Amino acid sequence: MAGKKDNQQLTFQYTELAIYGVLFLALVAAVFVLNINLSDESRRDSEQIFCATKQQEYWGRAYRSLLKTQTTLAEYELIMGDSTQLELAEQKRAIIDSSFHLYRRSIEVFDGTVKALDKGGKITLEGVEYKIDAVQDERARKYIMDIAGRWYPRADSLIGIAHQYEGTRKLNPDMLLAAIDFAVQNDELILADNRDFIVKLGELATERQNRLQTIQVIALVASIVVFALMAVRLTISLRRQAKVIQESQSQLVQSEKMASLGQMVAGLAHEMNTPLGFVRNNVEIIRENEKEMQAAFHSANTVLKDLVEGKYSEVEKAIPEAIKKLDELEKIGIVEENKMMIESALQGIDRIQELIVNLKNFSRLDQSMMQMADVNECLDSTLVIANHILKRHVTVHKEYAQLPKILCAPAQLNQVFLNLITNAAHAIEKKGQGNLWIKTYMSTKAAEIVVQVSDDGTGIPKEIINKIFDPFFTTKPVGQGTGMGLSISKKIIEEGHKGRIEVKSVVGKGTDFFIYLPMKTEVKEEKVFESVPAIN
Amino acid sequence: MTPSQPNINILLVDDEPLVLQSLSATFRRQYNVFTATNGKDAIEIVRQNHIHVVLSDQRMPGMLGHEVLRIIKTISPGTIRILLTGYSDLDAIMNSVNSGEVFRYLTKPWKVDQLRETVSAAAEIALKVSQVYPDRAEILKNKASVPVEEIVEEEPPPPPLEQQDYLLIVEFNREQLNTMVKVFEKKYKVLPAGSIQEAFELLSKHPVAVMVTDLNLNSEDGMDFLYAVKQEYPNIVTILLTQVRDALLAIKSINEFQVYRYHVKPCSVEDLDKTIQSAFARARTYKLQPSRNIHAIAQQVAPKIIEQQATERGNWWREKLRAAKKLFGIG
Repeated sequence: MAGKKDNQQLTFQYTELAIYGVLFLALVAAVFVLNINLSDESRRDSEQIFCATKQQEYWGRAYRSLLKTQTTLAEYELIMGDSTQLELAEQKRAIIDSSFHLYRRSIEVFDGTVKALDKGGKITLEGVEYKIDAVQDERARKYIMDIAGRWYPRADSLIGIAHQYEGTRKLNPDMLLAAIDFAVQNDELILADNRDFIVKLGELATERQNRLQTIQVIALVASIVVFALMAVRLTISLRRQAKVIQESQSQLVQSEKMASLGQMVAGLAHEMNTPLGFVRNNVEIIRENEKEMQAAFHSANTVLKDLVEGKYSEVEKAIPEAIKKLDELEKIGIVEENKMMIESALQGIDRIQELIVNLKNFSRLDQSMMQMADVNECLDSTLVIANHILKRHVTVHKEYAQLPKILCAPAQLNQVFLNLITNAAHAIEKKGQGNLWIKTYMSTKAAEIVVQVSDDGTGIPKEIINKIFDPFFTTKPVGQGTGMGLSISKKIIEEGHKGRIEVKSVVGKGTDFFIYLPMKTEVKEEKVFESVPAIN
Repeated sequence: MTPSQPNINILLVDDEPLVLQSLSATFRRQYNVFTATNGKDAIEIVRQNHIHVVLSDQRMPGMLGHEVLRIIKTISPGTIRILLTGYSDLDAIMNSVNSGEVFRYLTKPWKVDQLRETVSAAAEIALKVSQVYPDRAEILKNKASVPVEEIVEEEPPPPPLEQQDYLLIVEFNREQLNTMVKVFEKKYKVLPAGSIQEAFELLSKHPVAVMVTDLNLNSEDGMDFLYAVKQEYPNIVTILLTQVRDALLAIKSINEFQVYRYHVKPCSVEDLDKTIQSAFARARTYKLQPSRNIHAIAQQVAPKIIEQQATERGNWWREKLRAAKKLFGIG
């Protein structure tokens, strides 16, 4: 169940992350697309500007050619009749030809550029073909439209006049005049429009650039926001995970407690079953014996009663029967047996009582956490609880020094001692038989009590000796140890008692654990009142 | 009170002197009582005396109870072995169940009546069995010099394989039944039974030597089924193959239904095959030396002990089995 829930949560977290990722990417992509778009538009703009520049240039050329044509034509007409100046007239004629040709080409290019800027399309300028987009933005287009509005109605006649001349070499003076009229009238305007158009395009480009910059800034801000959100969410889920881990850790601590409790109960049950077994057996035997004694007592009583009442004839019969029964009792030693059975039953009951006292001492459930206690006594009651795991294969050697009572949490210390003793028992079990030494002494260096728990078991390999105090570290098969025993022990000693726990081990030789407990003796001063008012 | 039988020797083993004192007082008027506080002393006593019944504690310093009993079995096969265990030993027992071949497991604290009844049944069986081992002196001579650690269990050489012996497999789950049949049909003459009725019919028709059975038999209590089979066919060697790893159940099945081995599903084919082979050897031993089957003797000399444990349902199945026997009867 929990696993499924965890999985769901994990999927949810991953989905969330994925959404953030997609958002982030989308923003980056948007900026990218906008940039591509911008460079596209810039290209278009520069082409349009190029086109407009060329338009202006060719207009100017056409205008100048036209004017030149007109002046040359006037000169030509002056000397046309003069036969002496035939050569000069011919020269003039050639100039007219060439300038009019230039006019035609320029005016055609101008026509092309006007159409291209207005409607879009391909145009060849100086041998290179350009594809020009129609000007879309109204603010720029109006200049183009202004030029187009002037140009289109007259385009045919202005281009037509050039074509006509090319074909016939004759110029319609009216048409030429009209063309020059148009050119003179519109030259300024067309130039102004073109200039304005180019300026406008530049303005528009700047505007677009600014807009794009704004969008880029917005996108950047948005992606920072998304990033921040992602970070916050990750932190939250990490925190949650840490909390889950913490919870499961405290659960493990609890289960370690339960495990040591279970061990204690199992040990106790076993230790009690033995005295309970023989006490029960003894009581049943006493009951059986008592029946026989009662029968003998009854016979003897009958004899006495008969004697008192003077029924001598019956006494003669009853006496041998009573004597036989009493002899029988004597023979099998029923009285002694009962005595012995009662004595040993009492011993058994004492032993059960002792066990219960030890259990109480071990758990100290009825006492407060920190108190003055004798560490030797703690060790003794722990040894009683651990007896069932030691009895079979471990010889226990106790070397206690006289110790002052210290301020400690006896129930917790007992848990530590039980853990160390159990580990020692297991280490010895792997070897078969062995010894356990429990020593207590005062440290020579500091005001400390030292508890040394040593065994000659298998020892701890060098590779793992640094890990044994880590939570969850265990060498036992799955399900047999929580791997929390020593880490909890360390916590109890170091955090609960401000002491130290150290280990030395040689593989194959055995292990020594040292617990150093500071000799704290001061109990918080007791007061009757929180504060005593000054008496005057 | 039970009449005194001073020619019977019983040995009590416990590391707790007060327990020995108490038990001695319980038995001293009926039997010659020997006591030992550890396994080594106990084995020495068995070597030097003709001990009929040994009652040992399981948890002792040095050697564990079931180890002591196993060694005693090899020194003196005629000695009936009883193990006294505390509840916290149950897991350890579970592991030793299959090697001890103990007559009874008793749990602490015990009741005097029950203890006396069990010991007296054991004594009667021992008397019968001791007639089969007249050459005890020689066994002792051979084993006397061997250190305790080196004594190993010895089965008498198995008699030649007899082809007409059948292996009955009782399993309610048809799929599992077919798997087992497939695995074993090449080696043994297998009879598959998917229900109690089928098992009864097969038992009546064929000479079955070894039976492998589950305890979960389609809502019927496997214990009742075992009771019925064991009552009618005491020489069939039974192997339990069950999903429940329950020491109390194992002890009960050994105490009351003389189950030979207890296997927990899933087990390896090799292990089960080994067990089946040794079960066949055991079945042949029973056939050739009926007095080796202490449970069958128990049934003869102390039927009360066995029958008082039967349930109504168990007896009902026993009647059914008897009827099947008559119907298909091969004797």
